[in-house]
Amino acid sequence: MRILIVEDEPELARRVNARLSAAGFIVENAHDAETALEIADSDKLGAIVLDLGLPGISGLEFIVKWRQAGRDTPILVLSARNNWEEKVNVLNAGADDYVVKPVRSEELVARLNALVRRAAGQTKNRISAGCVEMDPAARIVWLNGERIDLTQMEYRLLHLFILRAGHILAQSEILDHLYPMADERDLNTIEVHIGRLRRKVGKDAITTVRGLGYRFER
Amino acid sequence: MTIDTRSLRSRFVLGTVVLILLGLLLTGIMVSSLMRAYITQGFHDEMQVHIEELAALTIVDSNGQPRLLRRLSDPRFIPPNSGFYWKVERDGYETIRSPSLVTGDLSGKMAINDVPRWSETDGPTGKAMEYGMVIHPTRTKTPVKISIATDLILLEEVLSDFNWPLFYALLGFAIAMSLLGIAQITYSLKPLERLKLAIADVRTGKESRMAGSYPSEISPLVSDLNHVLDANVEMVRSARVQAANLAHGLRTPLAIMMDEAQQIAERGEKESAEVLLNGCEQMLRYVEYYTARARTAALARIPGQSTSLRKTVEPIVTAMRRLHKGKEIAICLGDFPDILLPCDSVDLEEMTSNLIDNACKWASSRVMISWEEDRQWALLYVDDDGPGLPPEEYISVFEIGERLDAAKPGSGLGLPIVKDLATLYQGRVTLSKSPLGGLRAELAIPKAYLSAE
Repeated sequence: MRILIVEDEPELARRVNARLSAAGFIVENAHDAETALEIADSDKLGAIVLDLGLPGISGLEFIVKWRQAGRDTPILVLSARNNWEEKVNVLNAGADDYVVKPVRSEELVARLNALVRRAAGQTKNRISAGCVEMDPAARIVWLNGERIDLTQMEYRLLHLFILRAGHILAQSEILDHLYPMADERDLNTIEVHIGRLRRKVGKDAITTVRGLGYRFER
Repeated sequence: MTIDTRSLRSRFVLGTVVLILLGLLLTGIMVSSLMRAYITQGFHDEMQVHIEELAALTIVDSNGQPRLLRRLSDPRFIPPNSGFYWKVERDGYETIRSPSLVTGDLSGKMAINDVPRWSETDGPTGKAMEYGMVIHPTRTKTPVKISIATDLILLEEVLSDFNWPLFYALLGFAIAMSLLGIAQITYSLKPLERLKLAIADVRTGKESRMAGSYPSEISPLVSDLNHVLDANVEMVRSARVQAANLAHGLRTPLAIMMDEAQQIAERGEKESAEVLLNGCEQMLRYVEYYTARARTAALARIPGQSTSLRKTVEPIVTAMRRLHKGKEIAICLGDFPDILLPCDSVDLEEMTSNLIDNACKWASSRVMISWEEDRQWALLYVDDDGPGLPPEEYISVFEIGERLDAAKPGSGLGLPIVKDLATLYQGRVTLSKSPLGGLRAELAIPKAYLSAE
């Protein structure tokens, strides 16, 4: 799942990046709102972690512009400002969650997972599609009730498939969610990962739609 | 009826009325005295004329008997007991009297020599002004004593006929002057009354500044008050910016330090990491608590603020529905009439948000927000259907750093901050069992600063 961190403090951005990467997210950084707004494939973002006190366009202005552009990416605000006036304004402008710095990485990951899950229409803590069930917070996967072990890449792929179950995912989109700097990767690597995942969750779970991509069956 | 001696108006009215009454009393006494002197002198003059006329008309006949050539010209000497009397006497002869002198007699003791003299005597019908003199008609050796008198009660009647109208006239004048005085005082003090209302409007939050034009004597005061109000607002705005900058400046390095501590823990040095984390968390609590206090407008006690409770709560409810989306709780806000509170909007938002957020964290499925008001207080209720609290913890949760559950997000400072803010606004926040089964938080805020009453 691709996450964009918009944070102007480089050290903090690096650490949040590391934490979220370790939690299985594909993380990109933008140091200001202008850069974040210029992201071309913003529709492929799973969520945004946004600081409010940004140079130039503020975090609040970014949210307004982002939403005005018709983008519904979940936005988690990670701010040093802990007053309710700010929180209420930001949430009502279109943010989906507000976390005050400093935050423990576990809480940040849990809240990001919840956001991504809710954005995918999944209301429970565990998400599921077909015979597969996943607990993103604990990073555990069950197939027909039996726990199965996945590699990091397989987990990321399955997470994406469950959240978009029933939808066709293009190879490029999958690549974006699996790797940072996805443009430099070979699309064939997707086939390799899908092959491996099929062996673990069942080959009928993932359908190849010729010329378009792959679909995880609900 | 009691008079408020602290009231400038009462003092002016009282002073004016007393001065008018005193002035008119002295005037009355003076006019009455002058009038008495004037009328008394008139009586004396009249008696002089009468006695001179009596002297001129008195003759002695060939037998030596005194007689009058004719009656006195004043007819008042005729009716019996009319109050006007005369008497002519000569030793050894019959005394002749005015027809009016039918009972009693004149003393005749003022007839000593040929110069008219007078004295107050007991007359035939009461106290009298009696004149007397001795005359020597021709061809006689024995003098003739003539006396003439008038009742003093006639003088008093004339004076009384004057004094009562004078009294009523002066009383009417006093009332008219007092009413005019009161009207003038009321008119003169009207700007002060407007000033009082303007200050009350600022105090209750209807107005943020003192509006209107005032007389040149009051205008500088109004201008100074407005400057003070502006300076207070600016002070709070600046304090808030500084608090935000301070919070931002401290939280970001603290976030890095806490992450570093977590990494240390992951490397196996859990004790060192724990020390670091505890220190960071303690610093965080102080940062949060004191920056929250620094942003509080109530610390500056800025009057002239008015915040709509409904307009404050509605966006919070919308925000909370987003913030607690995953919990699927219904946040219900009843359709209550709005209440305007003399609070800074940021402070009111901080108090209500903390209470609603707290309820949302603990609710199972429902949070209900309601309010009511009486003459003095506005009461906001936030109810939830969560597990509630044992009554013995209703007080302790307002202590700094007291957390209901460490697993729930938050610093444990929400309720202490609400309590501090409510106290600064002379209000209170209390907890009790909710009709929904969980906890009820009740925030009571006075509708005007009590100290200003």
